Amino acid sequence: MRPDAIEEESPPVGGGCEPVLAARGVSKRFGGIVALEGVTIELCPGRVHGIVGENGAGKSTLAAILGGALAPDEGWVEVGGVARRLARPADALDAGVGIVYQELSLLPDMSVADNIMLGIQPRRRLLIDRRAQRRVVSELLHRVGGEQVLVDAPVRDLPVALQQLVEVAKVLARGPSAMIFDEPTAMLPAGESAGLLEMARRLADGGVAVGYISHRLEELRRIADDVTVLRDGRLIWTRPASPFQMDSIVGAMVGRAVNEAFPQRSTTATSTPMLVVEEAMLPGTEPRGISFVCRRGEILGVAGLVGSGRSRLARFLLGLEGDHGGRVTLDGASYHPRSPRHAARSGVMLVPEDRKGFGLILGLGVDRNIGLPSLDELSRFGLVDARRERALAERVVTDLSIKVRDIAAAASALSGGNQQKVVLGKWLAKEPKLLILDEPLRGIDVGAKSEIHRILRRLADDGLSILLISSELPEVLGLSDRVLVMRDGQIAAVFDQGPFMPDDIMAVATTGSAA
Amino acid sequence: MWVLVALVAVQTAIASEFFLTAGNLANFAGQLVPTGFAALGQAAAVLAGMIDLSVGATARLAALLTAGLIDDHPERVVPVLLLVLAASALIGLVNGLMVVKLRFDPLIATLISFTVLSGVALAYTRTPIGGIPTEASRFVNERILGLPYAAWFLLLLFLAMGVLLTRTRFGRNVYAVGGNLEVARRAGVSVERVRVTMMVNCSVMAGLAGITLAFRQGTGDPRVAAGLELVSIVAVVVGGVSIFGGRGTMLGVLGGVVFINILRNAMNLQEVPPLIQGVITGVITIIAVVVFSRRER
Repeated sequence: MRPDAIEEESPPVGGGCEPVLAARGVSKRFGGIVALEGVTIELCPGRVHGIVGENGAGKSTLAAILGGALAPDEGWVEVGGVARRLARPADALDAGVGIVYQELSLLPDMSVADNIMLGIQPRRRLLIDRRAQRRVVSELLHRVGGEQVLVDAPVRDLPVALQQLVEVAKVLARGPSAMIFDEPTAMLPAGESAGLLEMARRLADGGVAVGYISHRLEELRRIADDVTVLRDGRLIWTRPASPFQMDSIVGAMVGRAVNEAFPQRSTTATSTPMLVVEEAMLPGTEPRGISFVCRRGEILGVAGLVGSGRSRLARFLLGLEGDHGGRVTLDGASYHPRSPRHAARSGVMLVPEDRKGFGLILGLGVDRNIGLPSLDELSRFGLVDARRERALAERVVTDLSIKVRDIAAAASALSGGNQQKVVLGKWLAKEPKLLILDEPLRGIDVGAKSEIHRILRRLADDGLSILLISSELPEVLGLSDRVLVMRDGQIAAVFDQGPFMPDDIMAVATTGSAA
Repeated sequence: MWVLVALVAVQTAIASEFFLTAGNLANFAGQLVPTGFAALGQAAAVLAGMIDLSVGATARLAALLTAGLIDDHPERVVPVLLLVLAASALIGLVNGLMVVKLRFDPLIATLISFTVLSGVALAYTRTPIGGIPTEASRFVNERILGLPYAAWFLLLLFLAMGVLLTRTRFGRNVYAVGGNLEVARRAGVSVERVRVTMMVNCSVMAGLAGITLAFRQGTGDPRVAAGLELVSIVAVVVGGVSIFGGRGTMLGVLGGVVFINILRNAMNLQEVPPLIQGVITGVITIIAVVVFSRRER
């Protein structure tokens, strides 16, 4: 635990009520990664309890535990003051706990009414009473402010904002005494979240205990009675949401740890542009589009919250989002990628967020994984030259000091850090001009992290341009030469010179303006 | 789907005057019944996001047991049928438990059953076995209102399954489980119960297919129902059910069943060589699936 965290920590307070729903000392680990550690939280009837934290702070894990979708490794959940074992979501629903999940859990082909009433349809004898169902659904939609939704329309025909209302109605239909919203506005464009906020407030006023997870602070300012801050899976504090406290939230979210372990910034970075993006029109970036420059030999950090458009920017540069207008040049030449294959040929490559899904073929040997993108160069007359493949792999393994006993061993046998180096290596073998790293250090232990940091810095010094997308703020701040902050699909700010202050960046990412 | 059925029917009626005779229609209905049962069970399993490759082997074992155990004794018919259906249900239960308890993919689980059951059938007999008393085979041979009793029974089951799927909570849960397992789970649906029930249903329907096959042939033929699992899947897919689950109707499946049978009947009447029949069935299946999936979007 960081020393500064101890200072900030105060005993958890419950707002002085009989909590409807509480988690007591819950911990959860995924493999070696601690998602939650000893967190206690109490939700009171009639109050909106805001839960905030950076991406990866453990908010969604907490919601899943309260909703019975995950079982805690330690600690327990209390409903109405009684400890309950919530082995399945059905148990939580029966106990009166409803969760509005972050990603919509609706069936697109089913009608609005059938989705809302799934499993609890009113019946006459054994058959569903459709007239009664329609009546109940209309009432529920009215309560959530979605009168305009047609009860018999398939859900897929609704815009996302209305689907979100249907989702809420679905939870309400089960008559919960406690309700948790897991970042309900993350998928909504700014400005369309007002209805949802009002509804959460109304529900609380009607006596429901509401938990509201968000990283948009202005939302909490509007509706929260209490606020709990999580960081790195730990509870930092729970306090009443007075205006004064709101100001200290950002500081509590990011902590103040200054990581000395980052390599020295380069002094040799040139001003020669490598990638120039001018008014690129990605879906959701209208009307201005996105404009920025990534220089040769620099690490350009891209900060922002989940859903702020960072991954879409990466997909765009790989040719996966199509061309919607705007000018892009790479190394002086016009660059309009049509596919990842085309992008790779032009020298733009991605180390993806989902290492096991898209980065590596786990069952294949390390040498084969490294050789995969370079098979054209390694082949003669359509046959892969195994010796050249091995030579290439050995060069990469030495170069990045990948720890592997046998170069032909399956990639699954490697540690997370070494796997990531293999992904890095297989693209470096292609000599890219611009390397995009999407969450490169997720699930990697601390030692391997600083090693990868050093490698990235060395590559940049050798002239490679790196776009570093990461939710781990210290990483972006410590490693980047310049930092781009995204919010709601737009570039909200560019910080040209360090030292970067976490508070400034979080303020821009959450509220759109510097603190 | 039903438009295609009509097209093939009209073409055949013009090409062969025999097609529209009462005798051929009844014969056609009789041929259709076993595949109908199999497709009914398969469709419900596919809607719940599964697939059953053991349908043919289950039907064969059911046919052999039916003929072999009744062995021309009228008084044994009822107990043997109950036994066969119970055995089929047990097969389905094992399939279902492999899926929900051992977390096998349905494809793998039922492939295992297929292999085991084929072996059991082979061990039971390699030559035609037993016999069906005429009193019992009246179920498939005697007609009322132009159709055999068995065909009416099949239609009744289709109707019942249609009502179950569209008008009851359980039916909605089936679509939800097939559409998105996690969504169903989060809504509090007992995913395990839905899946096991649909696997049991599928095997019981396969058992019915086997019984009717035995009744029609009057004996237990060790080669019977070969490839029935694939025919049932084709009928389901041609009938517009998404192979990934969660989408499709019983009316569509019935259309698929009628379609592939009418196609077979039409090709037989027009003396299309068996080798070519397979090719034609394949091509028409492709067309039907493409047409249907286009319309879905």
